[in-house]
Amino acid sequence: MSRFILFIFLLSTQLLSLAQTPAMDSLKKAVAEHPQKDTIRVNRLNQLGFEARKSTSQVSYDAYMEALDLARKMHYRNGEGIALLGLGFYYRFIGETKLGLDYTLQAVPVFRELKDTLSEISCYYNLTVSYSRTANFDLAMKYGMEGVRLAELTHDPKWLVLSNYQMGNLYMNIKEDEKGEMAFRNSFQQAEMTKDIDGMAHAYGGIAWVYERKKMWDSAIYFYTKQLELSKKMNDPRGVLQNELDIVSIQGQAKQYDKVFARIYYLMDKFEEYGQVGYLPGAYSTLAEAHLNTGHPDSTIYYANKAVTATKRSGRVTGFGFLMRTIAQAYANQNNFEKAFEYQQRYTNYMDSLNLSDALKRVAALQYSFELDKKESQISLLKKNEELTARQNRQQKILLAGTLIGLIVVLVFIVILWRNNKEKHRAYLRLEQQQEQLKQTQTQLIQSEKMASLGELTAGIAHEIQNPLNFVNNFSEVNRELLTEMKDEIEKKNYSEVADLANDVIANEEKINYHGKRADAIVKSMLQHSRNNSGQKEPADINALVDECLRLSFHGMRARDKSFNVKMDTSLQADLPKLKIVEQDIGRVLLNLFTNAFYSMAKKKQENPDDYEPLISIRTEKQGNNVIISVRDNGKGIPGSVIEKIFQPFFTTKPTGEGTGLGLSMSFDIIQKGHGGQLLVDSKEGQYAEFKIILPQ
Amino acid sequence: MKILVVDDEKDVQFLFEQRFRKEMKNGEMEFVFAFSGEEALNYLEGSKQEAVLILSDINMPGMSGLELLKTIKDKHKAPPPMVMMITAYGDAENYNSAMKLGADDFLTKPVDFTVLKEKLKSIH
Repeated sequence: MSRFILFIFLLSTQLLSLAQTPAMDSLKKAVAEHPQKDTIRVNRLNQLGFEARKSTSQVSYDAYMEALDLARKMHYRNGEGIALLGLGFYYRFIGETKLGLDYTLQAVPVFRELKDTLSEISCYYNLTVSYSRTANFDLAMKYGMEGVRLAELTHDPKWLVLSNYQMGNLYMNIKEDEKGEMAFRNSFQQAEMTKDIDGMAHAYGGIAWVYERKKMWDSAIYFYTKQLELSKKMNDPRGVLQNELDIVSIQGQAKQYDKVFARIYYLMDKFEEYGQVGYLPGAYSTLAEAHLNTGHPDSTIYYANKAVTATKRSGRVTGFGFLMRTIAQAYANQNNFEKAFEYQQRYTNYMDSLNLSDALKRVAALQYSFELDKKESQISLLKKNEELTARQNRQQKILLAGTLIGLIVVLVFIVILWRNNKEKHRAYLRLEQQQEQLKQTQTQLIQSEKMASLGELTAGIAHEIQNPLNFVNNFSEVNRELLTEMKDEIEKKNYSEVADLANDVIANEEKINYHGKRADAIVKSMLQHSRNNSGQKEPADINALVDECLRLSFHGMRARDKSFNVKMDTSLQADLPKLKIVEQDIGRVLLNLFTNAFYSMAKKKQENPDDYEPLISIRTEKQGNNVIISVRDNGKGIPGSVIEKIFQPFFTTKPTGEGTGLGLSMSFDIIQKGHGGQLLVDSKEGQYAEFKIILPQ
Repeated sequence: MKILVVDDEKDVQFLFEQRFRKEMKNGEMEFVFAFSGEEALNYLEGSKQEAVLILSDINMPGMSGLELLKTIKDKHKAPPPMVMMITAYGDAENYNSAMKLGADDFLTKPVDFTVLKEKLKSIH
């Protein structure tokens, strides 16, 4: 709200209504209706002060003063700032420039604290105008530029127009006409763009001033007239009055005194009437000059002195020296040379000092603007550098970010790979462990298979040992008898009988020896069978091995199934060459094949007790470089569906617990891997099964 | 008295000849040997029941002693020779089946020749 109020306030700084407005009446009423000393009253007082600025200075002053007093007591910063700024404008407006500066400078920190930038710009505007008017151009330059800077920062069109306009005035004051023109034209452009008629009017005034400086009177009048038209369009009587004064002033300079006299009295009356003393010095000065040049020295002196008084009151200095000279000339025209000399002296002194201070101030302002330009260029350079650095930083950041992302991705990959590797390693270890366990299990299985087959054979072995032992026992008993007889015959000296008996004893001894060795061999082969380590390959008699294994397995079978009997058809080729084999391994294969054959035939016999005669045919023969052992039984045979699987480990058709399922797979390995041979199978279900071992020589 | 001994162990013949040396010398006993059931039957068919006593092993490849016993008792009706079974497996099952098939006696290995001699002599 405060911004809005200020905005309107500034728009109307140069407005002067001729009568009290209805708005002012209602505001007066609102203030009266709210005597409570609170922010509402402060705001209403400030509004009244602003509204009253248009017409009644005293009302405005009173309202602002009360508002300021109240706001300060309440520490109501916003109300305080508005009152201060209002008083700043008020005093400048009534020509009390220094008081105006005082109040405005107090307002600045308040708005800065409230971060009310637009009000701050408003302060700078007033300061610039005031300092320009008191020829403090360096300070004017400082605040003007700050105003422009903030206006550009906030992109506020109204303030861009006003700030540039004030800068134009300032440049004109320090005789930087070109810069001034540029500022005015900038201001005009901004104003035209936003259809800001007030701003356009001011800019026209500025441009007119430039032409005035160039002493191009027609152009100056043209632009002032343009400004006048806009002021009329805006119903701004105060602006109209000012514009008319400006035009009159140009006419005076253009020596069109009749035009001056025709209008200036009216204007002065109006200024006096509304208390707008700020414009009176200019008016008096113009009138004095006109009187001087039209041969009215008295009037010249009169108005020039009025101008001097008014100028002094307003704190303005411009035109002061000029007035001294005008008075001097008027006295000279009256032939009052003493007075003329006095004023000429004052003029010279004043101009000297003025020129000096003016020059100094100009230099200061120029230096300020020069420093500023330098700073600005440095700043822009810095900005460029900053931008460049920022861009480099950005690029570096992007690069860094990219690298970081890349690194993270790589890291993630590494972690994943590492974990995979670890997992693999663990899996590998597990696998190794399992493999080791498997190997152990396999070894155990092989061992248990051996033991199982050994168990099956135990009865057969016992029987096989029993027989030779019986012979040993019997023959030794017989020999004892024979030897007893022999003793008798010796006593009888029947020596031919003794010789016969001795021959018998020897023959029996041979039998004893033979059967003892037979038992020994059986025990040895049994031990060999149960032994774990794989033996060396040694030349062996295949037929003997086949015979022994057949006996062992047959008796083993018989031990378990007493009623079982089988016809054996053995056809062993007599002149087989000895083969280099691991006897116990091949023996195991043979035992396995025989046992399987017996088992199969026993089963079939159980199913057909009457019309089935088991027959096992064992054949050995040499074929080329190979020795072939074929074992054929007429048992149940092997179904076609499983014949492919019989050499696989753990495959068995026997009921659970009866077979390990390793027999044939071990046999296959022994023949193929251990001896480079082949183990073949041929079968017809229900008819026969024939296994062929082919061993290379 | 003619006795047929059936056993797949060939040394049985030699052992019997030693054991019954005296009996064979004085013609008290005459021994014939067969090394399988089939061979024994062949002999019996050929010699027209000359043997009055048959001593047979049970466990033999091919025709077992029990089969031989059955055949003898079935085929040789009038009068069938005495059959004594000798086996290493002196279990009840073997014994029962032998007796069922008409075996006249049942001996277990190792054979006690003193006992066997007495038995043979008592038959005689």
